[in-house]
Amino acid sequence: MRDSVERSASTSRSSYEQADVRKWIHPEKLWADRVFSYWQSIIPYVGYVIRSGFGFMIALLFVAGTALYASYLERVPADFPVRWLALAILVPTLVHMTYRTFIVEADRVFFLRIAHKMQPYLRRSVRYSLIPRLLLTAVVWTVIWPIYQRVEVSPKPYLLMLIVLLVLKLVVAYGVWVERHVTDKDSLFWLDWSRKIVCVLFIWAWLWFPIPAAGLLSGVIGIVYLLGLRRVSVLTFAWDAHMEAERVHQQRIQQFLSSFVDLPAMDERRYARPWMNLLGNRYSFRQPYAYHYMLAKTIIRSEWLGIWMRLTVIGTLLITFAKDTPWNGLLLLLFLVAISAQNRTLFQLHKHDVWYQLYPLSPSAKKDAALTYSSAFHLLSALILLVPVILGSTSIMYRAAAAGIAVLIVGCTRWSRGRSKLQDEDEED
Amino acid sequence: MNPLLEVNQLTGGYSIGRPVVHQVTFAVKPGEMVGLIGLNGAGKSTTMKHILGLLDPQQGQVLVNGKQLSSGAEAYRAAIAYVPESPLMYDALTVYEHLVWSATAYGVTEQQFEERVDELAKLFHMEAHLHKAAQHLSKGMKQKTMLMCAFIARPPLYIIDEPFLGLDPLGIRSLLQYMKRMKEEGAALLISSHILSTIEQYCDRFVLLHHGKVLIDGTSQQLKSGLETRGVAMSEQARLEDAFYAWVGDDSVSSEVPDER
Repeated sequence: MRDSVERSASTSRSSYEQADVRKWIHPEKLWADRVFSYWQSIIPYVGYVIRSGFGFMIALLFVAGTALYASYLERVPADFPVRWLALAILVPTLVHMTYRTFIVEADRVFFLRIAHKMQPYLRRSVRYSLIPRLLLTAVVWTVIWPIYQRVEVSPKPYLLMLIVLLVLKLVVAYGVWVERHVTDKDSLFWLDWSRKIVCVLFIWAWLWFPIPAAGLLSGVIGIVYLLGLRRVSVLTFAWDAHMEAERVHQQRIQQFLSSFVDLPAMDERRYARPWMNLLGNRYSFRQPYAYHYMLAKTIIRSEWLGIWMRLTVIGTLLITFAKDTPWNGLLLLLFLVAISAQNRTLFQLHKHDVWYQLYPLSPSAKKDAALTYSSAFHLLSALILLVPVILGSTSIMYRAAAAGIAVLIVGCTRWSRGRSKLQDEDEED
Repeated sequence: MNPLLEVNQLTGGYSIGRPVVHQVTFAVKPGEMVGLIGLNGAGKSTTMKHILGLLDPQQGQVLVNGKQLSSGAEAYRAAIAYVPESPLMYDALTVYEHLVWSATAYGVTEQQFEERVDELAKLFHMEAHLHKAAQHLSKGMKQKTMLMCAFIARPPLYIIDEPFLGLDPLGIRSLLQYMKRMKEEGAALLISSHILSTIEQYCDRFVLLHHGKVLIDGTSQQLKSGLETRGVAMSEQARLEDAFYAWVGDDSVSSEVPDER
């Protein structure tokens, strides 16, 4: 009797597990469903993005950038630091890598005991994430190639360098995948820096050294790095890291789309930036500026600030390259427009903020604060971008006109945002 | 003494024509702690949202200090501090910055803030966590931060939804002590909780909501004696929980429960 009960229980458990696994784990189907659902949730908003003028701005930037680049190629000086430029562009392109897994919190509950059967799902994830980044690497190298082969005394073959860069991207991708499965913060710190150093040394070797030496040096660096990665203690399934990465991806997409269409708010990613902690403190304990305080603290830890800094730095570098030509005016204009568009995100921060509705604040407190910071950062970027224009060798009149136009753009943007601010308030009333 | 909070014949909810709360009436006076109790879905949180002005009444009105939200939103909101059931924090801000933001919004001076923040941090054992970002806090610490944000403002009326969720025993004790002190200093507190055994000793009155309606509004003793009208006898020593079960008609519990204390 007891044997029969145990046999029955065992059979039932076994068949349950098989049925369960068959039902839930068709990794390819699950992956396809997740990707389809994701894109189905994004595509309805693409129309809003294109209609907003963003598509036009990208097209304009592409056309202007191509024209500027072609023009510059015709008169590029022989001593142009092309190796440094290539290093500066290739390192950020290659060193960063992320993986979309579309893992959701519920998966940890329902798939926990069958995580070991999800390898085909993760292989799809790796392939899905890697292919676009390999293509991006190829595109970036293809863009650098004309100036590299024109200035470099003994340029390496395009195809060889492309293969080298793709191999490096694969090595970096493996490193990032290992990092995804590490929980120890110290180990993560060292792994992060190791990857960055390997990437810089690898590219440096292939830009500065002859092919045999570059191959030897990069080969040794790569093998040591890969052997080091194999000694790292890793999780079998990085549930938390996958979910956190998905949260970050969703937040970025949502933040981007919310600049064009009304979307529910999501948690924002936080960047510590302790050196900026004091910013915003001047508004503390001044009730009319309470929202200024809260928004300042949000901004200094926001992804938006990183984007603003990158746009300003890239703009300044490009204008510096063109500081002696009238092209710098076009670049100044493009970057001020791009930064202005980016600043719209400030009006979307804490869009559905319950505390804003509950605290005793004036109805315009939120928009006043966003307008203050939007204008301040726009003006600051204009002043920074103007430095190479002023230092350039164009005529005094041209430089004065560029400065005037920059200030005009900042002023008009503020005026326009201020007007739409009033309209928004009317709508809310 | 005039009530600080008056809820008069409130009917409302999320959709017009489908009210969640019906003709709800009760009041909270200064120096009084009132427990809003009921089963899940009874309408407690909906009632609180109406008081906070997050929902518009379909009928009836909510008065704070004798005034409706529409007659001056800033003054109305300045009189209320709210602690939500689930902590609502800004990921970017630290605990200390949340406290500064809350204090600034309510017009607390820097000197008052410094006095209160030390006391609250000590009371809730948060001294070591004041400069941590919200995302690095446990659920209990987030709940404590929400409570501290409310208490740093010191308004006359507190609306507290399920304050004990996620709190450790020390945190619960600290909270109860502090609420009692606020009450003694003249504040009015409306607390929603399912932990009846805990709030029984601290609340002056209870408003029992069931299916969106007020079943009874009174002291613990009145909740017990009120059952006689339903033909249920309950000893004076019976717990609030027992009276609650009898009012909401839980068949699994005897209507006459001996005192187990």
